[in-house]
Formats: sequence, C-alpha cells, structure tokens
Amino acid sequence: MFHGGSIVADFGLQMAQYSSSPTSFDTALNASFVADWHLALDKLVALQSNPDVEDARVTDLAFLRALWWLIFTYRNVEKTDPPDVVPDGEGGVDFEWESEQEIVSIHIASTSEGLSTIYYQNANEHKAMKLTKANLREAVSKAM
Amino acid sequence: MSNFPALDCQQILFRAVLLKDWIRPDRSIKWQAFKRFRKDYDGVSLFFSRQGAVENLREPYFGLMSVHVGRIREINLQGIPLDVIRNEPEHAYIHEVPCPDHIDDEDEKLRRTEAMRYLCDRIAKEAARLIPEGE
Repeated sequence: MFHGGSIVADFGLQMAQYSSSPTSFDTALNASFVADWHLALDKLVALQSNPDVEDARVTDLAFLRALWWLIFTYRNVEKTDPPDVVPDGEGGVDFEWESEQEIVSIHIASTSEGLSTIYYQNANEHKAMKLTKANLREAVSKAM
Repeated sequence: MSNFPALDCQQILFRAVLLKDWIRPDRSIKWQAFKRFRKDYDGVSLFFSRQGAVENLREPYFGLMSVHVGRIREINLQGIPLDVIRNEPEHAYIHEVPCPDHIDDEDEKLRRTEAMRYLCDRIAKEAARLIPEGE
C-alpha cells in the first residue's frame, strides 16, 4: 500500500512556511487557521492509512489527487476555511464547505475512470462541473 | 416493474449509516448516507425492518435512519418526483436517484452527479431522521 508520509510532511512544511510569512495572512489569525487546515490534512491521511472501517478507506490515487487539491485550495483560495473531509464509501473522498445558504463540494474520484467534480448549490441554483482550477475558483468565489 | 402494491405514503423504512463521517456533530445526516453506489443497480436501498437494514453488512455501522416514504415522494427535480418501490418482501429502493458511475459520457456523468448530489441532500434533510440510541 502507498503511504504518502513524505508528501504529507512536505505539505506540513509548506503550511509552516506559509504561516510564518507575515504578508500571507493576518498574523493573529494565522496560527488557528493553519491548525485547522492541518486537521483536514490529518483526516485525509487517516482515511488513507487507518480508517475506522474498510469502506471508509480512500484509494491511493484518490489520496494523491485529494492531497494535491487540498494544497491548491489552501494556497490559492485565500482565507477559505478548511473543508470537511468526508469519505464517499467507494474509495473516493469529498471536500465540503457548507453554510446555511450555500454548499461547495469537491468530489475526488477513487479510480482513473471516475470523474472528479465540483458542486455548487445555493437557494437558486445547483451545478456540477468538472474539477478544474478555474471551476474551483468560480464556485468558491460565488460562495464568498 | 414491481410485483408489490405501491407503498403507502405513511410507510417508514430503514437504512444504516455505514460511515461515522456521514453524521454531523449535531446528529444530522450528510447526503453521502443516501448516495447511490456503483453496485446499486435498482436504486438506493431501504428496508422494512431495522434488523433487515443491518443484517447483511460486512462491517460495523454507525447508526440507523428512519425514512418517510411520503416525504421522499415530495422531492423532485425538474418535475420528476422520487418514488420508493418495493421489490422484495423486506426491501425497497428509492427510484430516480441517478448514479454517475453507470455511464461513460462525461456530460451525462456531470448531469447525474448534479442530480444525485442535490436529491441526496434533500433526502437527508427532509425525509430521514437518525434514530437515537435506545429508541
């Protein structure tokens, strides 16, 4: 089985470097912000390496893809809270941001045949799109 | 087609919550608890008894939901309502929740993903309830 320890460690280092940069985020908020993202990262690692039940286990492919999108979101969608990390029960994983009014949800497919998607929903519309950087930015910008 | 008569709207059915992460801290249910899996060829499974909902599970489960047939039927997408159809003495399924993984065309996958996500979210919020332990 694949273990993404070194990649995860690199991501942790990136977060630490990001958090020490006074130009990136407001210093006072930074520590808790980064800690929250670390929780999302820890959850993703646990789903790949040590899930509660086998049905929750994320495939190696989904783990790598999910890690990449977690890093991308953290670095490029500034001041977004970390997502809720939810296994889909079939080897994939969902990143979800939910509020009373809106939902933004990334689905990372478990296999190469599966389609990774981004979903946006508010009171007036709901839309699924192929997961791309531009579509993620569009969905998150709508929700902000 | 089902050989069983249509279910009464007052009928209550049951479904297990398979993963802990599908229950929010406030005990509400996430949409994934009603996701139509690749293996669900008819639709999303429901059972007529609590025992039936859990007896064939391979792994531990994390809760049981009660599901109201009438409230399922009140949910629709673009005028097409959901239904609950009995196909075995102890088993029924939610009809009209699409599965994106049952087709290869990318545009159709997206359309089905959108519909499944929206419908499952409404089912979880409007038609299902997590049964408290001991009830």
